[in-house]
Amino acid sequence: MVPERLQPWLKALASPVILVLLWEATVRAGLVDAELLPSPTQILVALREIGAAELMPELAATLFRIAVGFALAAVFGVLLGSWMALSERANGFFYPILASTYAIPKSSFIPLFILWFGIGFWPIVLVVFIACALPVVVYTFHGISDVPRLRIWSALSFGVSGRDLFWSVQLPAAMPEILVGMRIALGFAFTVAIAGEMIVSTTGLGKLIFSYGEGGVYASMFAVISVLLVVAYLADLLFMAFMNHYLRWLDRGHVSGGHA
Amino acid sequence: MTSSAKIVLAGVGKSFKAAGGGEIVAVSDASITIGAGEFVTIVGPSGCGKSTLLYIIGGFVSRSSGTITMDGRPIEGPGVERGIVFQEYALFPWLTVEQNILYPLRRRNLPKNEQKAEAARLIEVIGLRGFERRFPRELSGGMRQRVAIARTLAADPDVLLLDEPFGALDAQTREIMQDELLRVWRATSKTVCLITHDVTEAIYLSQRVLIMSARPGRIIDEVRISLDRDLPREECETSAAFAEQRNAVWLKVRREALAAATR
Repeated sequence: MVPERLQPWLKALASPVILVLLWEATVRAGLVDAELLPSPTQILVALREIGAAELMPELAATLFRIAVGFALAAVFGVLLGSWMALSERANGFFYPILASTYAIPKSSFIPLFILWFGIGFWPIVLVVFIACALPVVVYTFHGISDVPRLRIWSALSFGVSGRDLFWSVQLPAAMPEILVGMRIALGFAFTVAIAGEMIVSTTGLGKLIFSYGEGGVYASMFAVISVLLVVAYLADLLFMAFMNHYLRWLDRGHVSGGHA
Repeated sequence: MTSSAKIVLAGVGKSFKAAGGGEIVAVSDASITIGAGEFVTIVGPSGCGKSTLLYIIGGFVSRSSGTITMDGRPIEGPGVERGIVFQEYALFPWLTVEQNILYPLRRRNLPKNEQKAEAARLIEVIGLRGFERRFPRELSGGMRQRVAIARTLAADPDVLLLDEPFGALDAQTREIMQDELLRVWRATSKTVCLITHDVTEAIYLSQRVLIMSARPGRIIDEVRISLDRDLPREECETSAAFAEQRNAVWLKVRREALAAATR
């Protein structure tokens, strides 16, 4: 028997493991060309050849950009989303800007950012920031707008208003929604950071993937992609674990794991 | 009880714009005087606007017409002197039982140790010792409503507004909570205004029952309740006086409910 607290982790690993096994079998059976799609074992060998010494600095560079961009977006997104929910004028002003940026691929801003900041840290951080801010703003807006009025009224009857009302009732009540927005933002962060690094950066996992791909070393390219995959998946699992702990007060069945 | 007027409503009305373009009159021409320390209940069929009336007294909903004062001063919004318990628990689900009760206490000018002591006392009163660190989702409906009542009492309001506070409780818990409310009311000098559709509850608890008509809600009648309050509950509720007054109110409410149902 597996200890109960390990079971969610086991569940989380079952389908990826099955997929990898199928992949290995497909390549070994010769159903696809191993030159174009290396098997998982070939990728593992390539990964060992690259080695931690080469990989770790690139991984650290990517994660640092993601962390800074995500953190800035989380703070900015909660503040702007709250402001829009609480002020109709703010909503009227910012909504058209947000709605029009929503459909644009965020990586298309990169050439502009290179023009402004040159090649390096800031263009990537900025594009991560923009990609992450949108879902946080939208989910915060809905979270703050949908606080049940009886909770607000209760606070008002205790003489609470203004800032105290925001910090002690509106923000905590909106946290389930806000965290869903942040979880979506975290996924976006990885996507645009890698895309950005492939376009402009001289460091980072995206840069590594791009250069292996260009050089035709597909096993190595897949090795870096698989590292990215594992790291992004772990980041999401960690965020979910944090979310479930933080929202332990929430009625079960309301915790949104799937629909995000 | 000869007492000064605590809350006075004069010609209070409330109408909403209907989705179709017309106007819905929720409350019409309500004129009520509630004495200081009095226990008044408003009964009426569901949808008659009695909750709206209570929200207007609470200052949460604006009135369309009329005036409303407390201690002679106009009511223009919510205030700490008017505490409210809602039908559905409006507890803060992210706070534990103790934190919920501390929420209003922290906003009163009390020393920290007195806040803790008062919270502990209220938790004792509602019989939830040992549940201090539970979140509302871990409690039964009855327990949550007890916490909601304790939280309102923690703010120590002069007036208690109760919007069908026992509606969601099972019969046994409801009786316990009703007796607890009576005890608090007798022990303090609080004014109570209760909304209910339960006529028995209205007779058992209050000194005066106001009957509201089907929509548009108007106060159509008023019955002063006289019962021997020193009797134990079972004797009180089985007395002839109780049955007589209960029937009188019940018939009037039933007429309104039928009018509402056949409209």
